[in-house]
Formats: sequence, C-alpha cells, structure tokens
Amino acid sequence: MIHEKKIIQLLYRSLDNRLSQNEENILATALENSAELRREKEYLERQRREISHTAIHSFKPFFAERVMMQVNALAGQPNGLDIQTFYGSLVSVFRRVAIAGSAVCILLFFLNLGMGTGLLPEETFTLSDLTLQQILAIF
Amino acid sequence: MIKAAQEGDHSAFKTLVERHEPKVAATIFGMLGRCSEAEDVGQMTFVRFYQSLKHFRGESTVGTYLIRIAINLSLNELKRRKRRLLFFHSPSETDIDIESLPTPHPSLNAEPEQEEIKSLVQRAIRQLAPKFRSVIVLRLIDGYSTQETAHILNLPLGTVLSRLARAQMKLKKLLEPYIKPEEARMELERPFFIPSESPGRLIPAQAPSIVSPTRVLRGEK
Repeated sequence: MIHEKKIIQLLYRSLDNRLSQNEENILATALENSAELRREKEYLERQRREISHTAIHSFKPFFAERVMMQVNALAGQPNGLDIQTFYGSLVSVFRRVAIAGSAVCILLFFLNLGMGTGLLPEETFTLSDLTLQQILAIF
Repeated sequence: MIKAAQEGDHSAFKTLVERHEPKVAATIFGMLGRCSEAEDVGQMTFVRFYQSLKHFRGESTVGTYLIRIAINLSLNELKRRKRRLLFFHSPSETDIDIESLPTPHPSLNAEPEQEEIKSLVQRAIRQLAPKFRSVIVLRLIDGYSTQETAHILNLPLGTVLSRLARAQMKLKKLLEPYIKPEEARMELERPFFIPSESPGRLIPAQAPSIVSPTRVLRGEK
C-alpha cells in the first residue's frame, strides 16, 4: 500500500520533474479519487504562480550607466587588475610572515619554559641575564 | 558580442549589461528583497563578470554565468547580514529576514489584493533559509529548469528537487492563511443559502464532499 506521504511527494515532484509511467498512473488515480489532493494541487499551482509574479526585473534607472562608470574606472586605472593582484599578493605574503612570526614566538616560549626561567612574559620571551659565554655557546 | 567585449569594446559590454539586467535583478531581488544592498550586489555582479571576461570560455551561457555570480554574491551578502544582526542588532531594512507575516484577516471572504499577496509572498520567501531560497528563486522566479538550477548551484538534481519540495511546504505553511486555491475561492464566493423552488424560501447550500487521499488509497469511498 502506498502511503499518503508518498502521494504528496509524487505531487510535488510532478510539478518539477517527469514522473515514470507507473508513478504518473498512481498520481492520476489518486487525483481522480481525492478532492483533497486535487485541492492541494490547485493550491500549489496557485502558490507557484504567485511566487513567479513577485519577480522584479530592473534596478533603478540608468543601472547600465552606473555599471559602466565602475567598469571605466577599473579600465582607466593603469593596469587596474595588476594593482589588485599586487595587493592580493601582499596580503598573502603578510599572512605567511605572520604565521612564521607566531611560530617563532611559540618556539621561544617553549624553549624558555624548558630552560626553567619561569612563566613571566619578560622571562619567557626574552633571554635575560645572558653572559657572552652563554651566547657563544648557543652558536 | 562577447568577443567584442573581451577585446575591450565597452559599448558591447554595456549591451550585455542591458540585456542581462532583468534576470540578474530578478535573482538578486528574489534573494535579498527590495533593499539598498541589492543594487550594489547587481553592480558588483557585472563588475566581477567584466574582471573575469578574459577567462570566460563560453562553457556555459553568459546568462547562466552571470546568475551564478549573482547567487554567490547574494549568499555572501546574506551571510554578512546575519553577522551584522548577530553583533550589532539595530532595526533597519536588513531586519526583514526576521520579520513575520501579519495575522490573517478574520473575515473568511477577504482575500488580500494582488499587491498585498505579492508583498506577503516576498516576505514569506525571505523567511526561507538561503539554501531553500536560492532554489525557489532560480526555479520559480527566474524560470530555470530543475537541471539548469542544479547546474547553476552545482548541486545534484535530487537535492534540488527535495529542496524545492521542502521550500514549497514551508511557504505553504506561511501563506496558506492568505492564498486559497481557485476551487476554494469559488466555494467561499458561493452563497451559504440558495433559493428553493417555493418563492421567498432559502435552503442551505450543500457542502462539497471531500475525500481524504488516505481513504482513497484504502479503497474507501
């Protein structure tokens, strides 16, 4: 036995896609026998019509002219696209530098933590009271 | 036309803008509603198209290509709106997303006028989640086929069909108190009493028989 929900699904699908012959027969029989289903179909058709009537087909007057002003400004710039590419690459380079800088900070933090100098910021991010011998020992 | 625009002919590009403005406008207004951002998104759509003209190889039509840009930019705008509402909630025209529909008119016969219905439908569409809104706009407002809708949104056909069905069910819940099917409207307009054969007497009109689909499937009459 086919469930009512299945018939409703078939009804919705029939409005947007082709049904198989068997599905079409099932839906046609159900529609023939149920006034409620016919009403549902009519409602859906009306709702779809009302939705299609809501379309607004134009922006404010002289839209094309405003677009062309932007396009002209873009084309008028000396190598407008190249400048954008240049700034884009600057941003991506900065991102890499920022990531590398953060990694160095974290590394320093753990290094100093391992050396047991304490958890204060000035102790974790700096090497305090180093003697020349200690510096030379690092290198 | 495209070739001329690609070679730098600005008048050819302007003709393309004029030709495709109606569909782009319908898509963006459908997605965002009537608001000041819609015009900006419209302009940005064509500017983006201009910037990518050199890479346009005609694998899809210009219209489909533009609509894809318009949908993506509209979805970005909706995300921006959501963020704005989340952090800086202030009553403005961008609040329409959370606007609810008015209470239906108490009178049975009173169906809203065409313009009112249009406004109600627009507001109901704006209450849909963006993923449902985009399929409704492309399929029912722009009139693309389900295949084309799936192609534009880069989704499988089955997903488009299920989203369409779910979106229509949600819209039905919102709009049912306002929109009646033709048959129901005729029933509402029919008098409750009809004149009998004897002059001056009125007899109640018979209610239409409604059979539920479940009963039909069970074989009951």
